[in-house]
Amino acid sequence: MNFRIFNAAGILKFREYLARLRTNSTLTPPVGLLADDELIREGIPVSFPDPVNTFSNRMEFAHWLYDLFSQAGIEIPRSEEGFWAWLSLALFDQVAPPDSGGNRKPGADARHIPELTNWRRRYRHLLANPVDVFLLHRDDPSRAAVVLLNPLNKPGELTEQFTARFELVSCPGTMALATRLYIDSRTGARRLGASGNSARRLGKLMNQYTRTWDLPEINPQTFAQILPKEFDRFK
Amino acid sequence: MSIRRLNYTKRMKLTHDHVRIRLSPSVVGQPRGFEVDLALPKLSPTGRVYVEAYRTSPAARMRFDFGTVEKPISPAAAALLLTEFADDIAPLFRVKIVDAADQNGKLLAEAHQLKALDPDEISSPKSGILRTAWRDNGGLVWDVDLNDEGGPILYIDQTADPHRDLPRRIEFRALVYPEIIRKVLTEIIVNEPGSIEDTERWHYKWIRFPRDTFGFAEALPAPDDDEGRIDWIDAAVRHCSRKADFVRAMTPTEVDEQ
Repeated sequence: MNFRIFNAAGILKFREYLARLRTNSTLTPPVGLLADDELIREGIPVSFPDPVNTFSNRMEFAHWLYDLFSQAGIEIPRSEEGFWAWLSLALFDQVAPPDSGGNRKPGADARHIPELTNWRRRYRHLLANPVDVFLLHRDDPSRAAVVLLNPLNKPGELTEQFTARFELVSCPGTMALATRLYIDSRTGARRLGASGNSARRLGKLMNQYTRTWDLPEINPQTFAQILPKEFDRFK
Repeated sequence: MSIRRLNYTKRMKLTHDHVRIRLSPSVVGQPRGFEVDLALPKLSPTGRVYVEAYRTSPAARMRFDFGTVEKPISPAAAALLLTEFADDIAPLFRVKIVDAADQNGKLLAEAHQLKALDPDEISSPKSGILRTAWRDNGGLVWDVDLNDEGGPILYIDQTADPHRDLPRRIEFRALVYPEIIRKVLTEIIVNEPGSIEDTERWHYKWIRFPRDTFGFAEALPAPDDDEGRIDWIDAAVRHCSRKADFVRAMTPTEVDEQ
């Protein structure tokens, strides 16, 4: 099977499933929709692997998708709502995994069917967002590790603090600083206390700094020195 | 009520008198390029000059080095290709002058949310105000997105217009553009009246578009005059259409009628 793009009817069917899943949390994903020609606007000449990988985090997924499309010489159709909805259903076990009792919690529709023309909501899509971040930093994706290391279905508050603000998530300097502060370079894992108040405060500070400083090329070590004392434990 | 902004950073705001950016025409399958005319203030001779292209959805950002205030460089056309913006939605631009002497990295001057002059779109005298892009519109020949941070985007169906020449055809402009103006002005006046005086937002240019481009002199009625404001929008749209001569452009010629 190749990657595909849902048409409006396909998106609607998927949306209806999400609504039903909220009242019956054990409903099986309607994977038959993925190959229903009535619901497909077009196919993409890129093969969808079977079985598909299990991704340990957002970075792995974004890398996988980028590699598949790059090797085929095709742009990822990032502006296609039907593409992201189709992919979300294809990877539903990873974006809304069942618990031990088979129950799924899909969350808001925007996590699965993106609102692509609304920049305030686009970041909520569980698959489009890591790909956006990865592509913004594809010269060195490790600089954005702070928002790419969580599992696909749990992006986390720290991720939201940065990815909801385009000026921050697109800036190499701010992402390098946030990764330096919040990711332990020895273990590659997030540091304790790296979300909650600290993340919210850093997000606000960064917003202020972007009005005074040119941050894209700033060295994260230099940048860390101008942060207030409350961040000393992360430096 | 106008919004008063405090400038604690002493950063200078660059204007269209300092920066002019032009996009190259769009060609299917090729990234667009851009040109920049800079007439920068002599703030700091060694200040670094950067131009950034950016777009929030789908997210992309590119940065270009234009040398210093004293010794600006003009990158070759091949170095000014917007390769990260492969689709049709044009980016916005930001220009920065950055201190390289006393406080390294400090912003000395900046302009952001700059729209480039775009040969593919409606133009006002100083800058384009309606970006145009092609996509599958799900049955609509055209649609307007009013939710983008950078301002309205006209989406034309890619199947209906495979050669991307509809915006250049007078019939399309005559039938579509007045309705776009009406939609945008209604969005601003009815849904976001507080944005009208904010010079940093796209709404500011749009609300002045009928006056600045077509000489519509009627003042916008007071905020509590809902009916008067709706009438104002209608009068503005008709005025713009008259001045653009859309009816005459659509009138069949004798040759057409034979």
